[in-house]
Amino acid sequence: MVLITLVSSDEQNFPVERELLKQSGTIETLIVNMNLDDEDTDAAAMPIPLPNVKGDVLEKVIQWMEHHKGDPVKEGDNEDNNAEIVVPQWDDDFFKPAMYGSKHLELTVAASYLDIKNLLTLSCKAISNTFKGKTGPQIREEWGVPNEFTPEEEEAIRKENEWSE
Amino acid sequence: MSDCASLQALHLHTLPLPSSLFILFSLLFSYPSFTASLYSFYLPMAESSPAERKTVTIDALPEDLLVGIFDMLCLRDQTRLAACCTRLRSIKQHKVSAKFDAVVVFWCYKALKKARCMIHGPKDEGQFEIDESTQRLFERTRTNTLEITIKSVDDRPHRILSPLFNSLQYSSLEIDFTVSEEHNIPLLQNLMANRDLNEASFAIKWSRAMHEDIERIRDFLVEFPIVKSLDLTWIYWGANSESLSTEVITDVVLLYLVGRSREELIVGEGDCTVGGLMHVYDGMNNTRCRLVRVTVRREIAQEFHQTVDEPDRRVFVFLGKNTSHELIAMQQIVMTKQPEKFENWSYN
Repeated sequence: MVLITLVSSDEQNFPVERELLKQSGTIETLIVNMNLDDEDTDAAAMPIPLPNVKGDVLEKVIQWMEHHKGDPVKEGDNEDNNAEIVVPQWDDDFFKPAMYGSKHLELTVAASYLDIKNLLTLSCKAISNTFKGKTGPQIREEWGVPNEFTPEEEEAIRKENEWSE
Repeated sequence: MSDCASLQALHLHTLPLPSSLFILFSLLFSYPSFTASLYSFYLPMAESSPAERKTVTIDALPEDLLVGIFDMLCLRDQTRLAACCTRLRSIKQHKVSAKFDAVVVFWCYKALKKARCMIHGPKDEGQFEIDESTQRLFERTRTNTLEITIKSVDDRPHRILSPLFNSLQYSSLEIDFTVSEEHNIPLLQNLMANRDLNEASFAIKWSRAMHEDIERIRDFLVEFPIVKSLDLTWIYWGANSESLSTEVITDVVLLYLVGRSREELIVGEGDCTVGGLMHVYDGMNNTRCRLVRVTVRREIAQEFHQTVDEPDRRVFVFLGKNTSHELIAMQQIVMTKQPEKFENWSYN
């Protein structure tokens, strides 16, 4: 089993099975371009630095990839009807503990940076599910977003959005 | 493996020259960190060092991710999320397109105007009054079907609906003019302006067209853009009703419309000649239009059917059942490149 080492932004090393990394478009491109798959290349001696992903987030990404090992990898833009996507139970349980916090958002940003399409789609869907049926002030409160609107602006927005109440 | 050996393994010769030079210079000036330099060539760099990075908040997510999240919500939830903060509001207004299954507008006589937008199935449908904020709603909107029924004898539908749907993109426009009004055509023209209609289908119904409409409808049709399909329907009212479509759909208009319909053309009753129909028949061989339906006088239909050369042809002709209008016997003609669909259809 070929292992490739990923190095997080806080210098933690994560040896990962080569097969798992096929889920990440960014790392896969890198591996192909750097010929790390060549028999002559000592892939273990060439750790891949990921300067945009912290260790705790990378650990979660790897955990997700391990569970989804062998899943078909999406190619190109997502043409599915985004409203119809359902987050499977395992993924829902996986995201839930960190939801409403910075860690889930960092996981989403990492999925985007590493180009892991399935993780990105499910992660965004899990976030969007938390907004369903909530008002702007409720979302602000749950996600800790500061209110930047003046009372006058807020009233104008409320009036404009009356149809959606 | 040494760094020198890894140099060979990295196949620098396969990289573009400037890239190879960049890597070689990185190697010369920073040999110990060569591997890191090479990876950074392929990987996007961190915007800030980990120590400097702040906690990510929902409103601070990258724009493309937020647009993706908005896209996963129905319009009602999109609107509520946008009311959360200025950044989300701005992204919703400028980057997110609303998608409807259908936008249905029914305009009645006394300014009773209702728009119903069906989004992601009937559960999310919303019905609302048309005002300034609604206008903003349609600024970045796409719908499968735009369905409009106009029952008004003034120019208000044109004045209000034209700007309202100015940038609304649709796959299919179904419009029913239940009264005769001079602004019906300008409204249609505005709904079609500045759009790529190549893949769009049109169903236009004149339920109570009057004689004064003939000229403007004909002028409108001979300016028709290239569309996927066009279906014109005419309803005649009362015992003394007149078939206005026969005055609109002449040989010239029919031939022009065949050239503008990429797939199907259905026009109702026409005042066509055998010669005109032959031009249409021949014209179909040179266009992608695969179906034309027109109802003409029965004797014309019969003569045309006999005139058409039978063997070795791409287009087949079928005659429909006999009808009558204003005591004149009429018969529908179908010219099609897909005859298998009409094998059991002929009434002949």
